[in-house]
Amino acid sequence: MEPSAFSIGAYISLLVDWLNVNASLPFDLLSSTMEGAVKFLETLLLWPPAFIVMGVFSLGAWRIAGLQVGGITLFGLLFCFAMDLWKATMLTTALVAVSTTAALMVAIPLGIWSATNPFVDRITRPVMDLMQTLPPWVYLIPAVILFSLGRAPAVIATAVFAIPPALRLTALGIREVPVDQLEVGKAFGAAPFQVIWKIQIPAAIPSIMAGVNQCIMMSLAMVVLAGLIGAGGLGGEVVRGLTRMMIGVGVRSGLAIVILAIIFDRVTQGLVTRTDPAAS
Amino acid sequence: MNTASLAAGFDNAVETGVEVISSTFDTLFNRISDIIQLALTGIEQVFLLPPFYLFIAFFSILAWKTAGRTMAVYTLIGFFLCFAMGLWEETMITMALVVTSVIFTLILAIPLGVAAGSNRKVSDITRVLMDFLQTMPPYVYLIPAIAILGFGASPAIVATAIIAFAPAVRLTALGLRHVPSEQVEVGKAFGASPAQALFKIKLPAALPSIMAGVNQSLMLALSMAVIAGIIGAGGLGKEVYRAIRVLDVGKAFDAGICIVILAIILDRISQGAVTLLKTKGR
Repeated sequence: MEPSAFSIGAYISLLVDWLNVNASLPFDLLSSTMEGAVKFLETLLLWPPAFIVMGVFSLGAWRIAGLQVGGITLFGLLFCFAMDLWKATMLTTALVAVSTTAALMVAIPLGIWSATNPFVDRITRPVMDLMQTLPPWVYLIPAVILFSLGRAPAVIATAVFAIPPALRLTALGIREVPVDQLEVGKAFGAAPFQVIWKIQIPAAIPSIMAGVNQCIMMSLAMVVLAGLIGAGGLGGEVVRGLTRMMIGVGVRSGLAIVILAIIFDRVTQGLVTRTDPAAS
Repeated sequence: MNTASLAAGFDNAVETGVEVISSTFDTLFNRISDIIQLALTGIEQVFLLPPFYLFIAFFSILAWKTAGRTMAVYTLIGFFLCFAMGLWEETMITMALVVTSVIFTLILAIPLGVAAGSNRKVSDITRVLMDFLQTMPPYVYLIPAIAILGFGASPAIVATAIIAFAPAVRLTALGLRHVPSEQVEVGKAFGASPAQALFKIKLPAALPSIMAGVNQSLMLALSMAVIAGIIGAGGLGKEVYRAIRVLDVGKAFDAGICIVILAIILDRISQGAVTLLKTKGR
């Protein structure tokens, strides 16, 4: 860095150093929780023979989204297996699952809160606007700096990145519950939390599921990108292919990512239509 | 397990395939690459040639006209920060990458969107295609681009243009479909030819929607242009990638802040243009 240039980053870097020294405990805790969750899921997915995992996923896809999606899942996963990418595919699945769960744990309560409280809504709205304007790359920088390289920063950056659509669609779903349904509940003497739990949330499920679908797709895009910071999985393979000019590896893992994207998308779309009374 | 040899076979097949394709169409790909490179250098020069304060002034006025005074002040301060952090050139290169790819995208996407907006069959085909394009994680588009065009700015622009394609087509088609039929009828009643109906009635009425597509395209292009730093496109993405690899925290944050500034400026100015067009139309 030229010494003459003014740098905001230099001050942030001082702050980060201070945080690393004085407040490392919460960061370490968060990082090891995420790391542990990913490790656990990865082991769980890789422990049984690959064919059993494929069978379970395909059956699940069939039950949720129909025979065609079940077939796509089976053939897609077989392709990933045959292409020697089974481990990478399962790691990517585990990363997506953990970061989506983390994102939803923040997004759904906050979404419900901002739908019922105008003050919270006034804060979340501009924050979500800003978050959706930023390119994914930007999320990786603070994550890497606070949590160093590896899986933990990847999961945390991904979770943060995937919050906005889930939050927005949850709030939208809750807000669009017809007023007469709420009135009926109140007329029968439902307490406020009963109105939320028994009327608003069930009515908002299709919209929440649409949020889950968006959340998963964004997680996948980000987890793949996080191959750049050493998260491994299919993203790591793509980086290897791109940076060493091994086109074959790149294409192979790129195809596996596309397959995974199609499976995730169709299965969660199936969830949306299954829960939506208007669609069936 | 013999999957490793299967995978190796696949890799070999792909590599020979790519080699055959790129040697057969060598001149064509080189020509395409040259054209893209030429356009990029031209636009880069336009951004870098004037002194930075002229550029900042121009954009601040543009922001004022489209998005109001607060945004103008923000643009002024934001761009000045990029300059002060010593990243002016990188910021301009990234912006040139974005603008070049969006221009290529729009040249292809708007006619396709017009076709999809006025013809049912085209619309059905493009919808399936766009669904597929939007399901894939952006990162994946770098692979075919780099396989055919090699490292550098050209594959970055091709991949970026592909990413930015879908929303431009969709919103153009949407805009055309929502033009009130009475307006078109009035035009026909006054004896407008189909071409006149398109250019003088439908397209002006669809302009806000088309502009919304441009906004989406710009944002997607920016996110991709930054990622493309990894395959040798210059600018802020390359700077972030370099800084992260050598763990230069300060510089990585500086470049990240510039990306955020650029994203907000491009978003708000193009959104401002959308609202401006909407209110003008009424």
